[in-house]
Amino acid sequence: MKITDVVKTIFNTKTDDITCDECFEHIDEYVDMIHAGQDPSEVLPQVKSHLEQCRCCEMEFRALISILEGEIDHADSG
Amino acid sequence: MSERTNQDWLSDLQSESASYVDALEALRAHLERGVFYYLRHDRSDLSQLPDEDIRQMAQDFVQDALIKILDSLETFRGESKFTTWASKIAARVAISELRRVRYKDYSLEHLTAEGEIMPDLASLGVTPEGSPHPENYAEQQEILHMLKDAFENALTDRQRTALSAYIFDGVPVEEIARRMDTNRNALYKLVHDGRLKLKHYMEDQGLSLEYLLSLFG
Repeated sequence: MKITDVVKTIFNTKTDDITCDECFEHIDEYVDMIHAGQDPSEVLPQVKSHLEQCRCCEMEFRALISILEGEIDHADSG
Repeated sequence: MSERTNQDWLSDLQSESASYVDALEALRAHLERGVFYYLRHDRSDLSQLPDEDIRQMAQDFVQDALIKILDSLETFRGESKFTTWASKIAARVAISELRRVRYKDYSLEHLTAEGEIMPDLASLGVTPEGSPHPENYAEQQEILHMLKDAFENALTDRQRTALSAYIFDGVPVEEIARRMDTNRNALYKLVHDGRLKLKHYMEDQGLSLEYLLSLFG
């Protein structure tokens, strides 16, 4: 990891963070809102904040987006 | 893909009739398409594998995910599409297994043994020659010493070990938790509290993110 990433990891830490399980509980709602063209950060601001803080959950979030994209792509193409 | 409603999915997957098999196979095929797409298109670390290996991997992950999905149907609150809820479980299963394989040989021993846990500046991408501001190199070294002091003085032993693995080795909290005999939530909290301590320690030294990014930028 570069030193700039190290200092960002330290200084971007916020005080009001939720757990990974709490993030996981709501991540499906969060993603559906994105797909519906809504801004989930207004309704689920702590999920957005956690995704910015937690590399593990952020990676799972991106994987979920990709999996849904694959499901939709193939459904559309029959 | 059939147009099942959330209620259709739930009632079919909880039924004991033929509709159970239909729903299960429809969900399996749906998730396998998505997981295959993710592994094939978004995982550069798997790019060397042929499609048939990726497909087998997707089938294995989805099989494990289906067991978890069927075991936790009562926890589905209907706040999302059922397929999105099922897909998040498949995503976690796939990533957890890929992480487990990737870090199977990783050990925390080098962080818990006596000795230097902080990497030097060169390991963090900073050298006098490579720096955009070589005249600041002495100051950059001073910051590294401050960071080292923060690690030594502001953190508990467990926080120091966990944060070193998380920050310097880039290991996911899930894998650190496995090696420290705790769970992901507790480890995340340990790391998060440690990050806050480091932040406050550095701020007390008069340092800010903007300043540090300009110094190392």
